[in-house]
Amino acid sequence: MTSAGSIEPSDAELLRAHVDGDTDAFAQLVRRHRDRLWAVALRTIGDREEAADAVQDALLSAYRAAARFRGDSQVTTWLHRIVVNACLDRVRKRRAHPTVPLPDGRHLDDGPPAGPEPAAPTPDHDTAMVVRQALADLPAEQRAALVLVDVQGYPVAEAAEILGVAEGTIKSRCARGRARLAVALGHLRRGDDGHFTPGNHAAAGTVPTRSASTTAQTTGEGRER
Amino acid sequence: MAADELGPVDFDLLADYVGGALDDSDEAVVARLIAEDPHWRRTYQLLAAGMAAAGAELSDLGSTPEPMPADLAVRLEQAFASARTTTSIADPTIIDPALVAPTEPHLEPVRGGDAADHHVSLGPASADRGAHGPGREARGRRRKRLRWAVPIAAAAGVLALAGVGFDYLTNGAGESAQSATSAAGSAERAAPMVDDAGSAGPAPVLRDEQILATGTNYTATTLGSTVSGYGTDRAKADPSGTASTQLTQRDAGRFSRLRDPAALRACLEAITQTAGQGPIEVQTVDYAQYDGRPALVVRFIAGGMTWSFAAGPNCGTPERGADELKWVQVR
Repeated sequence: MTSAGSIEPSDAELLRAHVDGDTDAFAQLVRRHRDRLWAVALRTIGDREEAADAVQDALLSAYRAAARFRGDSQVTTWLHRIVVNACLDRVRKRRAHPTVPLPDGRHLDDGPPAGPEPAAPTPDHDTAMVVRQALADLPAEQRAALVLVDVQGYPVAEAAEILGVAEGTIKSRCARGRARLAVALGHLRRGDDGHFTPGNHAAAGTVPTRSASTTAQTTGEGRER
Repeated sequence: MAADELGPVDFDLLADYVGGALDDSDEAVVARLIAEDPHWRRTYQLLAAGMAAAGAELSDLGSTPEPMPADLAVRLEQAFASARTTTSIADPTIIDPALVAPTEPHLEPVRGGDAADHHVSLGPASADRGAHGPGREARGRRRKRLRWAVPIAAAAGVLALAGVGFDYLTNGAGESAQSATSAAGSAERAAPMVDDAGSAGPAPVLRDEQILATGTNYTATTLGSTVSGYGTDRAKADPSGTASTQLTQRDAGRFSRLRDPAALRACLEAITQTAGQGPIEVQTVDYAQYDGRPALVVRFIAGGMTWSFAAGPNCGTPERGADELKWVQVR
């Protein structure tokens, strides 16, 4: 079962084969996309253990829900949506029951680490750590949008489809998230004056949101659908 | 929006402007403010540069490969392999609706569907479980039976669920011995349950040695331990009916509901749902504590890994689902 002119079956063909009983088709589909799905999950949750659990939950759900897929979107979009939803669900639960994160991304109540977790090499590990932490401090919805668009490089339209919101909402989440990051990362220093205090004097991380109720922008945070 | 409504610079509005998220009219207002108000102009300059820098750093972050860890990849392969040998796809009883519905425009409600022939069902439907959220409650109302997707052979040797085996916690040894005997012939018992969706059938049981009442006070650290309260003589349930002496009287009382086989079955179903990894193979259930609170600690295998799940006394109720206190991988 392959696309015309293609040796490899398409994602949609693999999913259909899975629904039709091909016992390896879904695993093959996941192998094709697992690194990107993992990266999205890890960067959205910021915790390797939780990201692993979220990915596993999500992909098993997708495995079982495959027959529901109608093909209105790309299969990868569908998979990303399920994974991101699983991640956001966990982030919200964690917010409701916070634990203390350890520097390595584990939590105090996780018990001992399973073993060495190879850290991906980075050109500037310290900078990457700071950026990851600043990203983790953002509201979950802004973080998810930024992970998809700025980190993973998905087009705004696809990110909107993955997150189930309007493109304007994605733009607004990304813009406000970048603004918060700019403050948190010290990019708004005003020369010798030290940290810039944005607009109506909000500190980093507590950026005002008054505009959410003032403008009729495309679809900002205050008016998501 | 009138420009004079803004007062000081509105940071989010300016961010939206920089990010191109405003509609034309608001964009024009902000552009005019930037042109006419030095404070807005200066803030805009700083913010635009800062946002660009932040975006670049995020992009750098994305340029670093982040491959899926090998152990997770293996877990997934095992989970798929397990799922395909034990359950049909699109079994709505074990899909977390929060993940795939109802906000997904490209998904639609589907068939209820029976499990394939090689499934072993749990037996008669227990009370509806509302595990998590309204979607799941709705599914619970449909009284779809959770299918314990364990191959028959495995079920014969390992998984037999709470029938009368818990009586020794309250009533003495006689029936417990009977339950153990019934479990021993589990192949014969499991077989009639295949696709036995409507009839009650014989209630399967856990083997005696799988049912513990240690009263162990598990913690986040010990819950996933391979030794704590598990597999020790102390942990073995006492078929004479005094096993619960390891529990305080108060805790024993709080477990009264879960002594009922149907309630325990519902609890194990809820745990299966919460675990979200498809079928589970129960190793032990331990009437114990977690962080000083009464807890049913269930050890099970799912997705090729062993897990330890601490559930509260309300486990299996529609309101509380698995009444999850904590669950970890056993290492």
